[in-house]
Amino acid sequence: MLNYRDMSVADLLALAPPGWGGVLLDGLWLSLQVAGAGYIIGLLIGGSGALLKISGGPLTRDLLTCYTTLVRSIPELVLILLIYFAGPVALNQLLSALGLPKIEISPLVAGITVIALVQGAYITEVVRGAIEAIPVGHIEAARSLGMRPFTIFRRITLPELLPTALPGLSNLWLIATKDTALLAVVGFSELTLVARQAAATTKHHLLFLCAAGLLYLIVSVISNWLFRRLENRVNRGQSHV
Amino acid sequence: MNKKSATPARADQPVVDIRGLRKSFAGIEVLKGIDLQAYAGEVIALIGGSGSGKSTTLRCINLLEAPSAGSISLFGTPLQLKPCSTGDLQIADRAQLRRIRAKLGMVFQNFNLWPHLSLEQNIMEAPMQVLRYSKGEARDAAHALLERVGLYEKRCSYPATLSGGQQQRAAIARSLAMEPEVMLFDEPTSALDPELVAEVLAVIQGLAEEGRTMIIVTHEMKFAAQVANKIMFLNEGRVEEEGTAQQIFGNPNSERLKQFVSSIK
Repeated sequence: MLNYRDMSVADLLALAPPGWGGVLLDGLWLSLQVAGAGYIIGLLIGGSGALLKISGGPLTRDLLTCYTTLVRSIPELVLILLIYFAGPVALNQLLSALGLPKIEISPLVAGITVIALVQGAYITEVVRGAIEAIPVGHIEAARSLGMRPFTIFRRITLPELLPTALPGLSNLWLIATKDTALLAVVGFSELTLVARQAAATTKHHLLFLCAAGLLYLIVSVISNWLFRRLENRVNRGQSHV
Repeated sequence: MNKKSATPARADQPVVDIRGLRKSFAGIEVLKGIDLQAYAGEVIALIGGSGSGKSTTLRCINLLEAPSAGSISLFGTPLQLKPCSTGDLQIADRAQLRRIRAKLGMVFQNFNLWPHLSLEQNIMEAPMQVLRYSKGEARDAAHALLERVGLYEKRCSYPATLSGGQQQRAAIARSLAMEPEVMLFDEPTSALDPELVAEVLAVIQGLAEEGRTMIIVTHEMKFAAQVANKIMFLNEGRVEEEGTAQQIFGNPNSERLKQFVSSIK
């Protein structure tokens, strides 16, 4: 049994064992992978969701409203428990009814699924609002010049919605990075879980929880800086700059 | 009237031929059967009070507004229309509509320049995306057009930094970049401060003198009288009277036009 009580802070946070620094960074890396993958899938869901909500038929619109309303009103923690514990049961019942082999959902897949579903719902609404804020005349001008719908989306709608959507999207990214902490409840070794393990093993609770907090803070600061640069880029031509 | 779709436009055939155009919004009929023929080189001014249907008529020509009934022939080819679920007509062949739109330049009341693109990029966009011009060709054409409307020095500015008059001149350059056969103007000076109206009208007048075919919805009666070969007075969704400027302003027949003419004097 190691004597953690008398170890220095530097030794406790050292990257190599018996220090816990490496374990924390591995946890951070896993958190970022889940947040990143979930966010990117969420962007795809949200982007298509917004377009379908605006231009789709009544049935599509109703289904999407169900999705965004449900996901936005259920706590993320409940969604995680549902998808990790109840999801596989339902899926495997379906698979065995079809005579297919059972599958297991790893905490990683469950985590990415939850983040993607949640982000997708919020991003749908952010992007829908941003598209609706574009003056209809700008799109009419493009149509009147004979541009194709996809060209109009790529060259006019997308660049015009970004200045409105980016502040919301950057908020959602920060929320995604911190939602990963909830995956600790299903035993996924992301940053918060490993920090708690380190704290419990060494009894240095304050040190390791603060270290985890600091890592989350660094991620936020860097993300903010990147999003601000992106905003400056997409805001060119806007009168308020 | 020639209805055969394969026949190219002849000199004696209107380039824009609208028959029996009707349009309802939520059950209220705003166009009650408009006929409009524009021949190559003609300048037609649509005038009338607000709500008379002049802008809606113009917007039906390139189908920014879906007509409820009627036929539209452009350059000798009828637009293929079919009824849709809302009761309005919709285009049956989207590629045909895009081809036709590319030949109809539209200038809007609110300019509608794209705010994320510089003036030069605004003008280059459609020629590159629709006509597949190379970047160099599109830029050369854009520079020539900006020179022409007096905005060459502003080519790298964004629309938000320009006055309304400058934005509208750039918007005219944007539609000219497609080398349109017909220009449609939807109240091009109505959103401008009074002192900026003249610079935009001068550009439009220059286009008229080149012999371009144009249909102009306007409230500038003096201007309409100057540039238009034919003036159509719309009232409550009908063409109340049409004729030369002299007939319309000098010798109005209908009671409504007499009122309108005296109210603007």
